[in-house]
Amino acid sequence: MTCRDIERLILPYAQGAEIPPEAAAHITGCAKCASLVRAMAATEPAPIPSSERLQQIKAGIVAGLKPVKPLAPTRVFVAALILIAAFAAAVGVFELGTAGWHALSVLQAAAVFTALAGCALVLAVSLARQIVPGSRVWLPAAWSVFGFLAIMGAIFAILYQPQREPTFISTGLVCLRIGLECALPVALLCWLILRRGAILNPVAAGALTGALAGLSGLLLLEIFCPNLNAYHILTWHLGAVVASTLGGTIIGVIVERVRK
Amino acid sequence: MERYQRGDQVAAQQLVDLLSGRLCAFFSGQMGSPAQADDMLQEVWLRLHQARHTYRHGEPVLPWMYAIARRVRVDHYRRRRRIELREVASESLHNVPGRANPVPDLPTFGELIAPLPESQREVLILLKVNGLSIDEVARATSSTAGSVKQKVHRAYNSLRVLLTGAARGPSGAGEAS
Repeated sequence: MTCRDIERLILPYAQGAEIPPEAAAHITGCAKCASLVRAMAATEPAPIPSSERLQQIKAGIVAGLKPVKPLAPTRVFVAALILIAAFAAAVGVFELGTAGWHALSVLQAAAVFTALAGCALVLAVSLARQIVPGSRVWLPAAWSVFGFLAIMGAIFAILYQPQREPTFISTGLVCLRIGLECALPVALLCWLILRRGAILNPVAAGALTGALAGLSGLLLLEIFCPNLNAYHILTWHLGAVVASTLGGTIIGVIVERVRK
Repeated sequence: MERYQRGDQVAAQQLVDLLSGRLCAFFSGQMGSPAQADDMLQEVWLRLHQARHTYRHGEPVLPWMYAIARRVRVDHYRRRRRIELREVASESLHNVPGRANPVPDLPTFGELIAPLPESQREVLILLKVNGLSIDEVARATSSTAGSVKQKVHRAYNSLRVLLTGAARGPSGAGEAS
């Protein structure tokens, strides 16, 4: 038995549970573990809140107590967030057309839209869990955002050919503007939905909202823009996602400061 | 909790009686002062009350409660730190207090974990003082179970070093902290 194995037994032992003989033998022979186990087993009297304070709290709560409706299940929020992102992109496609979709090869279309669908699901689930305190976290918010950017960046870098483009900036700025114009209403609508819950970490919620809104803009650009130059897509299409995510993060930071 | 959401006053009062001790232990362990913990209770109950609709039936109550309490503590800590920084800047450094009441023999749990980084201290308090499982701590701290296990392992390693240093002599613990 190693020192690491002992770590699993320290707290049960401190709470009075029996420990296996081999663990006891290790503790007897290991001075570091012995002192750690002794220190962690030491108990202190638990602090008790004052009765005046408890009365104050109860009076405050009971005075304005009204029934509340519990939040809808996470899947409802996830569906709503994905629908908002998809709807905004669909409106944009309706206005701008589907030239990009027709320019894509089958492989490109399959890879890009499958990845976008998967990333939208991951971002929406992460975001829906942000508004419920104590939710199980299976992927930290930062990983969801960076994973999305990395996956899309890798797909564009691998499946699209880089080309020299004389109008790189002028055409690129048009795509950036379209992407952000699609992202902005998505972010606002998502924020309205998220306000129904309790956002404990506005920075993470802001970054995820920005990323999901940026994904909506990217979806629109991939369907509308026929330019298949890897440089153009990596800079301007993915740039719209990065700008949207940064915007959401900055708003989250501001919200957190204002709250304090 | 469900009765509290339905507006049952008795259930609300029972919940305050049932959970306030745990919250007090959580704040006291983090802030090192029962008086401050008592002050924080009012603020955390206000937030719990405002966010009571976010509790979902069938989910564990404690991670939900500690997630909110943790946020209140972080906000309070940052606010207090800003005020302290201003006070230090406006006064002078000779008023900075040392560690109160040093205990010469066995350290208390609070003193033992005081030198640890904030995140490791928080995880140990939730596990030992508040009796949460690894999964519940992960939920309360918005992290994964693997991340919590890693923090606990690092905390234990640091404590081993600190305790060995303390056994050699009081200067060892002082240097490590």
